[in-house]
Amino acid sequence: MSTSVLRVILIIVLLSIFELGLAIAIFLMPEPTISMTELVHSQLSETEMTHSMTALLLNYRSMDMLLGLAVLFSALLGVWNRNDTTVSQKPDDSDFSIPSLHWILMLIVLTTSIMFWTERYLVAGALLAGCGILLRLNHLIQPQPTAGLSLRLGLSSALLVFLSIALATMVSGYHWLEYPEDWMNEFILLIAVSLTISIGLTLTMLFFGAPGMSWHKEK
Amino acid sequence: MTKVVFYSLVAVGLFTIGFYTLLVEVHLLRKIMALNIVFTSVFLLLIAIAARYPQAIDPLPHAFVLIGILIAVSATALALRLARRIYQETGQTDLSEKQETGIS
Repeated sequence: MSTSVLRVILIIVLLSIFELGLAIAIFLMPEPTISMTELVHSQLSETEMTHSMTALLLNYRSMDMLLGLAVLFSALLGVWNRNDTTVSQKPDDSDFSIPSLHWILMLIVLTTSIMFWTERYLVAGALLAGCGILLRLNHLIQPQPTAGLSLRLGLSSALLVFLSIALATMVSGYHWLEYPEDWMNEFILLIAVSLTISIGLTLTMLFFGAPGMSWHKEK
Repeated sequence: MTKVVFYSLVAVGLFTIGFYTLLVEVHLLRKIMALNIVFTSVFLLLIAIAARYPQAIDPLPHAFVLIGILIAVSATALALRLARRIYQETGQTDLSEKQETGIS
């Protein structure tokens, strides 16, 4: 008993010192010398994009985006556990259902298109995942122990497209993930579509916790 | 500038709360929730830092927060999956070995 109390006291003391250090670091934070905002907005015309954050993610920090997608994919692989035989083989007996689902779905799809149109691809992907979860809650799609080829392709499309574009540009003499000017629009569109689909599917599959899914069959 | 400092300090406070809970609590679900509080505090700090420029907001930390949210969600899903697996294997919701040896 006394050791656990001592441990908690020790943790509190160490955390207080840590927090003090962080607070001092915040007060000593230097004033910014260059304005990143002006820099980004002055370079925005070169990327042929309108949304500064997406331009950053897909052009200037595309390596971070690629690594983020790799992390997402690794998490999905971790969730796909072949030894786990309990992947909801039991039938769904919950009678949870959302009234007027098709209106909600239509609204979500409309919002997704607007988000896609205004170059907010990650938000569009997250909205698609919301669609998938709603369909799952209404038993319109069901988890399956194995994944089909199209699902696998959809899940890995963003990584595949990103990596193949990176390799192709490198082979043809450009820098790593530097898009050639003539092909910029096509590349960005390809990445955007695959990114949206891949993120939507991955988040849905993370919610399922199962390797595959299928449309619900009427019995 | 004071607003930035205020939000940064709130972020530090949230981080401490989350990290303390992560260390002290034994229940796995509470640990995962504490981890999410830590994630949120980091996002809050990044957004506070993005507002340091007087003219407009710096988009770079916002882009990082966007990727960070994706990674946080996937990490939470993986952690929940692992916690469920631990519950299925051992029948307990923490990582202590006392109950396990007591049963076997």
